[in-house]
Amino acid sequence: MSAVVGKVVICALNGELTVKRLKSIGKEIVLGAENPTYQDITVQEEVDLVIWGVVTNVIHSL
Amino acid sequence: MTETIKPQRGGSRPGAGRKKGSSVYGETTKAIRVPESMVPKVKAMLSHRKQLFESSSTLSIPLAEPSHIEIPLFSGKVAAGFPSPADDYIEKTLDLNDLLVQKPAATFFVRAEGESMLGAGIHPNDILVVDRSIEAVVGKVVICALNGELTVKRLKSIGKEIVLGAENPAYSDITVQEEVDLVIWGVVTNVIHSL
Repeated sequence: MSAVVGKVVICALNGELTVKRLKSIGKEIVLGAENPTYQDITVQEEVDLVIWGVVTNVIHSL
Repeated sequence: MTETIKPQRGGSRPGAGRKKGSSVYGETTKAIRVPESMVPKVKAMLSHRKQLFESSSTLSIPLAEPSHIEIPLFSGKVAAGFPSPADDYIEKTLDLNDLLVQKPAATFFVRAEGESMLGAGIHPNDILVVDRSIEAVVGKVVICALNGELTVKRLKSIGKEIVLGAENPAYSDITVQEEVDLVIWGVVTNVIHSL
């Protein structure tokens, strides 16, 4: 599945795994958080970002 | 002058061969070719079937072997780069049946409708994993039939009353009255939500 804007992705950002929603703001790609207490991460040129894949489902235990 | 001579050897003999239904499975059998990779699975199924026939006279469908797929589970910290299942930072592997289905015979799935349980993380169209063997005590999220209508709610007790609690301020709790027909089907153990 291709990681397009709008998808929730797992990516390695400078070696740290993270899950964020891909957004584009202007010309920039942003790793968007979906919690107002967390900030979006704007992907800078010098950042080492590897997208591993698109999150298709979430399983949570009650 | 021709004379028919009945051969003294060969041919069919009445009463010879296996009797119909005399196999260990209690019915007629048939020879088939099976892919080599499936031989263990088929053999396991057959032996299960044989045991069933030996242990009871009622026919029941053999339980299929639960499928098992080990999928890598990654830990949070990784070296940059693309992951490979051979990498050593895989924490472990995970099988969804192991994670979600503790008791196959007591488990069923149901698709959620409505938004009354958003607060518990249950969204419309989510798939709920329900275990009928878990006791439905206060605090658990349960699937119940309320006057014949299936619903998912959290069991609460307010004073002496049992309440089916919604987890969305826009929905009101349902107090279970004496005259209400309530059947609890099981406890929701997991929610599968598609993104």
